[in-house]
Amino acid sequence: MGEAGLGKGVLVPDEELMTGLVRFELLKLARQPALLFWGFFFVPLAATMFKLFLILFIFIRSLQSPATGSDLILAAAKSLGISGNWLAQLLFAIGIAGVFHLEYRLATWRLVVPRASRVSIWLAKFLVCLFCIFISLSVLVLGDFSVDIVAAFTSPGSSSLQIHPDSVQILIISSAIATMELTVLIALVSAMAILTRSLIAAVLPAFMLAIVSSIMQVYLGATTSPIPLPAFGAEMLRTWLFDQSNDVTDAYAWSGLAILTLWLLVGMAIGSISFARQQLYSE
Amino acid sequence: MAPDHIVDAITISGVEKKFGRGRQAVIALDGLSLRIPRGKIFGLLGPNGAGKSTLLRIIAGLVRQDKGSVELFGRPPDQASRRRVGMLIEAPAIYPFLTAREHLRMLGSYSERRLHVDAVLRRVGIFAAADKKAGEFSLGMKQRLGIACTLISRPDAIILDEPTNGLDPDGILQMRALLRELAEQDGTTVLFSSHLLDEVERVCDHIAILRQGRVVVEGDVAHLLDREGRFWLDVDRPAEIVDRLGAIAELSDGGLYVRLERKHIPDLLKSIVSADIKVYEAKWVKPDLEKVFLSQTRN
Repeated sequence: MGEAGLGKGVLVPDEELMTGLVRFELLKLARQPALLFWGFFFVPLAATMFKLFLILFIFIRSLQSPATGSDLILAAAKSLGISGNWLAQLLFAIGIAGVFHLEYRLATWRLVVPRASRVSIWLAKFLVCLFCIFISLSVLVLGDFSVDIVAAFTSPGSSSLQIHPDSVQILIISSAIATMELTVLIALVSAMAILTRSLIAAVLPAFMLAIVSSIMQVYLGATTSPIPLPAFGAEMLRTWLFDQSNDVTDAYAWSGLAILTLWLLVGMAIGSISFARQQLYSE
Repeated sequence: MAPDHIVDAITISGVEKKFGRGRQAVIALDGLSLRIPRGKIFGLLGPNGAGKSTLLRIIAGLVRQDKGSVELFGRPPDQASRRRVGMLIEAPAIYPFLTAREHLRMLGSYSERRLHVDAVLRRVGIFAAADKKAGEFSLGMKQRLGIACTLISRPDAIILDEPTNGLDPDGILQMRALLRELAEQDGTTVLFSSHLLDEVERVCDHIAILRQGRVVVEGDVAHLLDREGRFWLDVDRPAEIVDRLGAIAELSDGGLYVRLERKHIPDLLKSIVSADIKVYEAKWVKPDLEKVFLSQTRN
């Protein structure tokens, strides 16, 4: 073996290494179909099936097409509000925790840590979770489209399908809000998985936070005073997006965005710094 | 580029590591210093809790030392220098849902100097199981896969923690041959820890024995065994010699052992003969590594 230097000729460039790490994470996830399904794809599939069931139920009950006079794109944009649902968050949290906890469960950090920087490893996992969340939300939107289209075309009367091009912008913003809310979930769950090295301990706090937020939202209703929890931040943004009344100002939306951003940054900082400094031994 | 004049693959200087705090603290490494020369096979020995695994974990970057420094090829350990070192720390860590080929393909993608996956699989003897999920592997096959993972990026040095664990006798022979081949043909530095003293004695050029986080003995294997050697004599009046030589001589095995440097043996023989003591048999008795190990690690 020749004398090897440490120059760029020996090592793959950082961006190539990052691509390799992300591909490795995707392969690992693809080889765990149960985690992939329950953690990332059950929510959009279940939401689509639920909507289909409701439409069929109403159709059979009334023997007429349900009122689908609403905008197809706007309906899909509203369906993305599922990102704030506590059950959806529980399942997503299991998926995210599964990705981060894998290396602790199998002690495989011994395999990857000497080969790549810890921040790169953490970032690759984060990006893969984000990618899966994005695909999951895309499946949700496509599922919603499909159900509405099927409902419209199977209606006995004339098609009541409506498409307003103006709603595309709302769909994009709604997707961004849902992605942002679930990115916060990735940051928090990954930080807990790293700190506790336990799947259950990573999922439970996120689940409890989602439940508490849901209960508080039920009790407090629409409140103009911001409560600094991620679910409230996302809900403030959604209210700003969908509520066209003058009560909801842009400042209200900015407050929601600030809450989400703060939680995201804190979660990411805790997760990445903890992993970078963590002592990795199994005894 | 790493300077060519750097002769040591790994340099450890005054490394200290403590686990826990206060009275509960356990000192794993106590100012340990060691130099692993390039292209040699270096054995790390020591009883349980001596600090071997902690040292290997520090080199691998899994655990951070409290004090002291580690250098890999003359540089502080960073992502670049660590990728020149293949590491198999503790038991082989594998993903049970991936095949052996997938393991190597993915880990190889981190280095431009990667070897051909099939060649590495053949070298460690698991080519036939290349497309089997690693979860179905026996312990010995997992060990071979772990070693393949260290070799895929064609490292300049490899660190193996108990590499023969779980291998059958044939596998141990193959492993021994592989380590020698890596060092002699490829010039790869091999640092490995093992409890199999016979294995270490057969394979290693250099060894270090650790005890309570410190190096108690270090050096060339042949030299160490020579240094610990004794001279055995069968004479007609052994008690007389023991009286004369004092503590360095002891009666045993029907004769007497004299602990003396090899270069002083001719003088000893001359003085015995001149004292008119009859010598029936005389031989230099080399200890095995087990005796050296036990003499250094037992209180």
